[in-house]
Order: sequence, then structure tokens, then C-alpha cells
Amino acid sequence: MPGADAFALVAGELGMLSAARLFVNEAEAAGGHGAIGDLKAALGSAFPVLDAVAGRALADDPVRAPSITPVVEALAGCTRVLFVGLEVDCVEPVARALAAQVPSATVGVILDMNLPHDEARVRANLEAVGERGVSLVPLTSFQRFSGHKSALVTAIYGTDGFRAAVCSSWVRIFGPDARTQFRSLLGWNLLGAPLNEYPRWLSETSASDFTELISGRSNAEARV
Amino acid sequence: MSTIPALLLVGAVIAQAALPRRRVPIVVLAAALAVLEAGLSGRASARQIVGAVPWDVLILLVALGVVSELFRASRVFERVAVLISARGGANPARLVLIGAVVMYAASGLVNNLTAILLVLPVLLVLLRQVGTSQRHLSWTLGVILVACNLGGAATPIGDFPAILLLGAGAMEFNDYLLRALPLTLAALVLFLALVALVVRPARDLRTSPVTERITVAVVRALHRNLRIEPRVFVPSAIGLVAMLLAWAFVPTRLLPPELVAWLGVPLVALATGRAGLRAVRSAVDPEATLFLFALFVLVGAVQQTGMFDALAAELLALPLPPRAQLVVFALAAGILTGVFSAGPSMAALLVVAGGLTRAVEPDVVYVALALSVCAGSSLFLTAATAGPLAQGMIERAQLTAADGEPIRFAFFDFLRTGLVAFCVIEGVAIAWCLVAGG
Repeated sequence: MPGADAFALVAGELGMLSAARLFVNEAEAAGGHGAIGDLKAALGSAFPVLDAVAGRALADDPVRAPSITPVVEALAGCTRVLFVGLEVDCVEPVARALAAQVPSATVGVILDMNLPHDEARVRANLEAVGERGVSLVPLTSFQRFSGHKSALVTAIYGTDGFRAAVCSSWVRIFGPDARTQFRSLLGWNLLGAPLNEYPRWLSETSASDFTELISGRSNAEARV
Repeated sequence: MSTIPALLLVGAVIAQAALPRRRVPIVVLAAALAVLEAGLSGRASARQIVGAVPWDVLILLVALGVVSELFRASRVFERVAVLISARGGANPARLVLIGAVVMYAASGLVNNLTAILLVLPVLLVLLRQVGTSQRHLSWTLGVILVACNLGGAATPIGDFPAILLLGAGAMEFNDYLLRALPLTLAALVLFLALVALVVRPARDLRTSPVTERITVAVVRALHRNLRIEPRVFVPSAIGLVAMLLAWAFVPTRLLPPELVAWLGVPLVALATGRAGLRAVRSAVDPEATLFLFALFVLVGAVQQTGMFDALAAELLALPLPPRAQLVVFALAAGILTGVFSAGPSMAALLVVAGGLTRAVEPDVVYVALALSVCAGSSLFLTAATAGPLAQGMIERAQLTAADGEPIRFAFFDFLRTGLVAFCVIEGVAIAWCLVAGG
């Protein structure tokens, strides 16, 4: 079974949920529920999102690729969208959909600096998305994206309606000033239920930070 | 005969090996002192010594640097590495062999540093996912560096020693390729067979179908959007093929190799647009060019004293048949390169080799020299062209073994691989001397 180092790198370059889905899907294809159980036992306590995704797969309720429709609808009219924390299963389809609707739209990503990654490789992958590509934005330059047609979007890894587990870059950006500089602050709830394990690698924030919480599970459950 | 220029050359070579970060000012200062001494003694003016610098070699080096940079921008080697890794599976034992073959092929066309920069990141992802140990990583990286050196020596455009032979007019393109390619390939096969059958770097690693499947999926996912850039790749490939054809089939008296590169590379740079302009900026490394210029000046100053001719005469005076004299020369070249690295050794030894060509066919001498320099480059991590770069990349990757111990790749971690590689390549060089040197 790949070690914690191996998962951390993939999570740093794909995002916690995208990496967890990849590991769980491949483990299931190679060894069924037994392999998912081994993966959960080996890495679940260190990576709570992987633990949740593996748990759902074992309960025959697998976490699927998030539906982007509600997010694209919520971003209607935005010309600058900044994702705080990378989730390639979310960022890349949204960037492609936005580019099709608003060709001049600019999409950027702030990486989670707690996780290891090869920045050149991440940048090369993101720059190849759509016609305009997705740019990597340093944490200190997030205000470049501010404006009345701008939105901040971050993934939420489970919430009880009051607290939300988010990538740690969010708590470094979010503040009273950020709230007034962006039209929308979207929280994209990718897991639904709160995490079972201690939210290692993540930070907890108040669900009231966001102007809108969007469910990632399906179109039917889209707006919470 | 003044010994001051020779002392300055040896002193500069030792000092730059001991203080690699200060190598440029050390060698430039030594060159300036050697020119001053030659002028004061009335042996040669600064104009004469600088005029004798092989500018054709420097033109070739810069031009091929631009080609390397364009291939880097086209992402072709990165893509090939990903495809081969994904197709070949994530078996740690196979990884060593696949890595070596990819590096050998890449280094024959682009310089070793570019080849390492392109292929090593993909390999590091594989190693991290599939799991590695200190022993496995040391051998895997070591084998890759040796394959890089062999690939660089396989073609006349792969690495500095071969480029020097081509640029200095010592050998024609085809003559070098037809002799060096099979010899380096034989050395690679021998070396890989030894590693795979005797050393077995992956023997202490355990992997599972789940790990292998996840690893292949991860490699694909981390390079999911990376595609070959046709606007850069197509003109670069056409340009390189055209230059290879010109080097191979147009007589050098009509179109010397450096002029082929001089004409071809600007055309390719213009055809590739912005990427071409960026490549020109990145490839012209003033530090490397200044270092080589100063080395050539130093060697030129020593040559003015007649010392290299005297050394060659001493070698020819050894009470040995010519092929045995060539073996002595090849062995000395290998060891000197191991200590002083390829650039300085090759620049000085090429002049001595010129003396040996009076007794042995020139092509045999020069190919033996190129192989021995390749053997020496593979002996120590500090002598391998891409060694320090690979060392830095491993340090930054912060890999750990299954027991959580950090894995490093330093001088002594490479030494075993280096000794085996030196024996194999130098052995092939000596066999070449004995078979062809008669």
C-alpha cells in the first residue's frame, strides 16, 4: 500500500478529495472492499478525507465526481474566480464551463502550502485547462482577483451546518476585508456529513463565512 | 620549457573541483595569469592565445543547448517518460531498467542536465508511490546517471566530450556515431545485466497489485493535461533531423558541423516563435560559456609551452606496443576525469591524444578517449555532469523509506554504482583499444 508520503504528494497536486477518490477507486478495482479497508486502515487516520471517501465506498455509497452545475450557476456573471485550495475534480470542469460561457473569465487557484507538491508540474497541468488556462496565484496576491464580478470558492470537507472543514489557506485569506472585496464567497460542500477523524491538514471555520453553501453531491441536493 | 602555465592549469583544475561554487572565477583568474605569463615570457601574445580558442566548439555547445531547451519546452521527453512508466507498470525492478533506457535515449539527443530535469520528476513520483529504500534509490539513481553519461557519449551531439571531438574537427559525425553508439550500447547492456542479475536493487522491496495499480493511475493523473506542444516540437524535430542529415551526409569541408548548427538553430528558433526566443535566452549560460572559454585559454597557454607534445612523446616512448600505450592513456584519462570531471580533462587530454594519433589510427584514439572520459564521469557523483543536479532534486523531494528513515543521495551513496560503471565502461574502452588499436 502506498505510504503517507505518497498520498500527501497526490493530495498536494490534485486536492484531498480528488486524490482520495483516485486511491479508493484504484484500490477497489485491484482488490475490492478488502483493499479499500486496508487503505482506510493504513492512511485513514492521517488523512480524514481519504477516511471518509473510503468509508463511503465500503458502505456502497461512493463519493462521485461533484456536480458542477450549481457552482457554475452561482458564478453566473463573474469574470474572475479564485479557488482557495486545489481540487482538480472541481476546478478544471468549472474552468472549462466558465470559459465556454464567458471567454474572458479568469480562473486562479491558491495552493495549500501545507501539502508537498511540484509547483512546476501543477502549473503546467492547470495552464493547459481550456483556452485561457488556470493560473496559480500566490497567497499574498489574492486581491488581484477582487472586484464586483469576482468570487472566492473553496471546498468544504464536511459540515454540521455551523462549522466547516476547509483547506488551511482559506483561514489565511478570509477576513472582514476579503468579504467586502468579492461579490460571492462560495463554500462547496463536497462530503456532506462532518469528518469522522480529526481534520488533520485542514482548518475549521464558521459556515457563516460563506455567502452561499453549495452541495457537491448531486443537482437535486444542490442548494442547501 | 616553462612549467608555470601547466601548474596554473593543474592548480585551477584542483581548486575548481574542491570549490565548485567558485569554479568560474578560479578558472578565469588562472587563465588570465597564464596569458600574462605567456606574454611576459614572449612566448605568445594574449591575441594569439585567445585567437586559438576553439570557437567552433563553443558555437556547437550553445546551439545544441538551444535545441535541448526547445525539446524541454515541447514536453516530448516528459510525455514519453509518462507513457513508458504507465505502460511498463510500477514494478520497482523494472523501473531501474526503464529509467536507464529512457535516459540513454534522451541524453543522446539533448544534454544530460536537460534529460535529468525532464525525466527525474516523473521517476520521483513513481518511486514515492511504489515505495523505495536507500539501497534501491541509490542504485536506481546511480544507474540513471550512468545511462545519461553513456547516452551523452553515444552520439557526437550528446555531451561535451563528443561535441569537442566534432567541433575541433578531430572526428567526422558518422565516424564517431558508427563507433561510439555500438560501444556505449554494449557497455549499457553489460552494466544493466550486472545490475539486474547480480545487484538486484529491488530485492528488499515488497509491492502489491494494489500499489502498482494506484501508482500507474497517479502518474497518469499528475501529468493529465501535459501534452506535446506541436508548435514547438514539429519545427524542433524537423530542424534536428535536418541538422543530423547535414552532419551525416554533407562533407565538412563544404559545411563544417558548427556552421550546420549556426545556420539550423536560428531558423528553428524563429520557426518556434516565443518558445524559440525563450530557449535562446535560457540556453546561453554565460557562466558555463565563460568557464569553458577560460579552460580553453589555459589549455592553449600550456600547449604553447610544448608540454602536451612532450607528454605524448613520453607516452609514445614507453617500451610498449602502440595498443598497450593506448590502454595506458585510456586508463589515465578515465581516472583523471573521475577526479577533475569531464570538461577540464577532455580539453587537456585531447591535445595529448593528438600526439598518440601518430602511432595509432586517430578514430581509435579519440573513441577510446571519449569512452574513458565517460567512464571517469561515471566514477564519482561529483564527476557526473548531472550528478549535483540529481542530488539536489532528491534532497528537495524528501523521500522516505518504508521505516520512515529519510533517503539521501550523496557521494558515498553513488560510489558503488560508480565503481561498477567505471569498471564496465573502462573495460569496454580497453577492449576497444586492444581490438581496434592494432
